[in-house]
Amino acid sequence: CDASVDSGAYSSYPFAACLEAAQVGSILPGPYKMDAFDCRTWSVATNKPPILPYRGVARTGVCFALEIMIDKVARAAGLEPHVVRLANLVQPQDMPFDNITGKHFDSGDYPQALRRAIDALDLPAWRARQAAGEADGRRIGVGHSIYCEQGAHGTSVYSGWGIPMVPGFEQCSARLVPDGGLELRIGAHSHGQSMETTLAQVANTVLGLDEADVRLVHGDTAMSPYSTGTWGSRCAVMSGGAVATACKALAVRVKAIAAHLLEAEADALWLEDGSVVHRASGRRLTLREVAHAWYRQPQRMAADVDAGGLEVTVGYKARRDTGTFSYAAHACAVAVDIELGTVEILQYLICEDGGVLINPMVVDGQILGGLAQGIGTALYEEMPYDSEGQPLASTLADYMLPGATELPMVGIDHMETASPYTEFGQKGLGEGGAIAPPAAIINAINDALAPLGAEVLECPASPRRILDALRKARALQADAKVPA
Amino acid sequence: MKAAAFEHVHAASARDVVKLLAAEDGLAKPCGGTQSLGPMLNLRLVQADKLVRVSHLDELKAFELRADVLRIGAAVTHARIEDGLLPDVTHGLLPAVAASIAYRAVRNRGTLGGSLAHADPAADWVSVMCLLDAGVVLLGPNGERSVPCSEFLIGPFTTLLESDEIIVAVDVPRFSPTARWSYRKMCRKPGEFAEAVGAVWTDPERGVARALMGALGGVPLVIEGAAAIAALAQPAAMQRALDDAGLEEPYERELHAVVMRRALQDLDRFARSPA
Repeated sequence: CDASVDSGAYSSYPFAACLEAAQVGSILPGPYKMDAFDCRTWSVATNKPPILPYRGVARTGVCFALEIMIDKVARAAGLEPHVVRLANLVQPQDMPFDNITGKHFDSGDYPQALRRAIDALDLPAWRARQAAGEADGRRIGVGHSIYCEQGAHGTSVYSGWGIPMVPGFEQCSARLVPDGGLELRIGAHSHGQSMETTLAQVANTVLGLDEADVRLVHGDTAMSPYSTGTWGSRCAVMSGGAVATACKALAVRVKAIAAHLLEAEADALWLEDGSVVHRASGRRLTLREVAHAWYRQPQRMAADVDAGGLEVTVGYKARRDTGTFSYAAHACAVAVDIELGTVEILQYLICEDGGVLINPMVVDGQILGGLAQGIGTALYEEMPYDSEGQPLASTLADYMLPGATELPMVGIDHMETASPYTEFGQKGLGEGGAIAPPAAIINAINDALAPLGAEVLECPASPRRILDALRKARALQADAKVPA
Repeated sequence: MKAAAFEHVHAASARDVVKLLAAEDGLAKPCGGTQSLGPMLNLRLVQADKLVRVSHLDELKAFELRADVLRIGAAVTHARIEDGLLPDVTHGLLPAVAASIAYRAVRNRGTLGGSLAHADPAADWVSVMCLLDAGVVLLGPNGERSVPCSEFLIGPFTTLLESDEIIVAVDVPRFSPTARWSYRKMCRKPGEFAEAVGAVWTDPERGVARALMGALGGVPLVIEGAAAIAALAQPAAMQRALDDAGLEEPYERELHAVVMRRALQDLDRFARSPA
């Protein structure tokens, strides 16, 4: 494979100009088993604005190229595309799996995800409707795609790239404040990822206090640990791991103080419902009472009290830092108006495996937001330039984004194959929703266009591109009919 | 971006608007719902020293049912037409079209007169009022004049309006009981500007048969007469119409041909069976 990336005129970060191309070379095999692999990549400097990493860095393009090609293979072989995929996907018994480019897959059952998405779509019913034809003349198409998303990969992966800045470990400062509430200070940043909710749940799991009593402090290194921040689908694993580790260390401190106050052994104490409980006797102290004693009545502390008190800063280091591999199969049915080139998504189903889910609703939000972005890539968003390199879509009046009316109702099915390397078995999944839609939707469009001999191989599949493809196919067929 | 500084004036009457415009010698612009003018000012595609608001004037928000027409005040919003707050003299054409203009938020403020004065070729009212050849009533220093919409529109974003004139009303013909219409537009998503418009109005009692191709580079193309319209079913006639519409690109020709054909088919498909 030869891949060229138009990197624009400058590198916005020391290695941003080459990031996309460098990724392609290592992630192109996707979730498939391959016996041989060859890939050359080029980052091309041009007179356009520079590119920057974007949700799914290189994975959207890789998924698109790979999955469009697999559908072409299936059409040539007269097979349903999922049959070709199932024959080539990495199998659950292969896990953990080192693929041909050395990527280490931690866990997963890819064939099951694909089968579940296809079953949910009810492929035979769509094939029957497709064969029957639509009253309004539109053509039905069915398509799907599957991808893997490496998340939370750390030091060993990035140091191998030879880049000047390498991410390390992640810290959290946790402290019980005088009113019994918990403050979590992290270096990552929550700007729509609902970390306030997810990390509060992690704290609840460890410390047993109400999520409403947890306050997340972030976004200012004057008040938080340093971090490389929020990127690379890493926060559930890295910040989640840091919060869990810090809360565990804090639990030891809390129990030690409570043990003295309750005249019990620390090992016999449990943290639940915002209290420290001695189960044998039923005696308990609320976290607020423990905090009050520590901050206001230090005379009640044991003589050998740990003077570090109710505040800890502890870091998290993954058992293995090659990252987690979340994945999903997206399956959809579309109706293509072959006269106007417009596309309506009739059904869209996702089977996602993000490992153990800390909060399924937050995960659904990540998937839906990603899907909206992916539908934009598939059908609407485009940054065209004229032959001189002048950008032609420099305002949102020219750059078309999908809105509520362009998004279908979506069915999401969760698998939860635990990662063996993370705190709770969770995996990073913040980018995946945006990776699969262009491939799934364009495969569906091409499935609809196939009887007409046309196919679209570019995003977005605008009415213009679809009508151009149909016109080209008609011209080819007309040429073929002309006697030599 | 934000607009360059301008003065914003609320006129006391339509005549007052004309006086204020005349005094500024072309540097003032009347403004209705500002749903097009506003963004263009912000993008600095348009600059005005003074904006004279007209959309608050009761006299421009009124409507009047006359013998042959419904006179709609220029400041009537798309939303009022959509909601059926005006007498329906077009068998539902105007409310149906109004409901498809941009988004409800835009329709709440955007006005019929403002849309015609702006004369964006992709705007729905530009096509519909040309199809109906509605009378556009203008008020200037020398009083009122009424011109057919097909003459009022000169080109893209260009009309007969003088710098000291405003649209005060639009006269929409009252359809006969047997009149029929169809209206199709193609846009990438709801709320986007149309890439192609096709519309038909037949009113045998009035002796009217008009078909229209809209959202062109310039003014819409009107095809008059039942025979000429029927001929559009023939590829050669359709190709001639596309030539007349100034369409060159294969993609644009295809879109307009399909939208026009579907509008014609709609007229047949929804034909009333004889009583």
